[in-house]
Amino acid sequence: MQRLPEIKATYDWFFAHYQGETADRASNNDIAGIEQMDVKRDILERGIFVLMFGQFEKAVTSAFEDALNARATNPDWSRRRGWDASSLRGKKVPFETKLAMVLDSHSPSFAQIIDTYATRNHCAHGGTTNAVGSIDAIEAKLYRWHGELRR
Amino acid sequence: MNDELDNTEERAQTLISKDSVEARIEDWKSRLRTLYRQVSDWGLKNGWTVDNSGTVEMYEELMQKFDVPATEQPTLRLDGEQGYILFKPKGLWVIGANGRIDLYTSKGTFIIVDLAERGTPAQWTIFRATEKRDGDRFTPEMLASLV
Repeated sequence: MQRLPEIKATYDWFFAHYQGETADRASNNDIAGIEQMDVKRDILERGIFVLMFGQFEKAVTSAFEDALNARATNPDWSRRRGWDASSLRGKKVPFETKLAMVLDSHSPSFAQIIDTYATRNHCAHGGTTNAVGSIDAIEAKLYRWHGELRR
Repeated sequence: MNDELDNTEERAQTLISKDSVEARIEDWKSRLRTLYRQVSDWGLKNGWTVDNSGTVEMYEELMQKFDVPATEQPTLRLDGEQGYILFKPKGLWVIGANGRIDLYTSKGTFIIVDLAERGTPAQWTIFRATEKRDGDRFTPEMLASLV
């Protein structure tokens, strides 16, 4: 997740400006004024969420490819078993399949990641206007999930 | 888009009904009321003026989809010599949490989210109050350091 810190730093820069812009409105209890600012914040946070999750997707692909390359060429069939299937080759392997090869699909994190991936797809394709809970919380989750991947 | 994930989303949607959306709104408002009561008690004990008469509209995507009318969610305002504190609910159906409140104070802007699983007691967690990546468990007492 090489670029995650850079993406998060960009968000922090935005948030500092948002804070400055909303300070007077909050001080004056101008809820409608804050809501106006939040339209921009919501859109930007959805974009940041998609970019951040993209870094996790790259990490899953990397872990999957490492695992695949290490096992698919093993001369011992008991270790190569299944990993040399042609459906695991190429760029069209579904994210869920890649994830299942590097993370226990029965783990709570697996279900959370797949749910988050579905939301990410809806965000990326304009399918939701829901706000992001907390970019900081999502960052923490991504690092935690990343630590659970096995090569 | 990935059909497999569309199906996942559709499966989730079929479990949702107008009744369940209304029940979740009621639960959200109840969690807000409980939190505000705790904050108000702390504020009054510490010399703050408390105003819980404000509201902000709630009309989220799922409400529109299931024809649930717009409603009001309460805000909470505290004023004192030290500055101001404003709790403004952002929404219930937010990505990655079971509801979010934006907290504006004379010192800055903070984010409070409920990270508990649905149907379990609220686990209010505040972000940006400290450097901790996982946030901090929110307590009214910590407001003293956020103004």
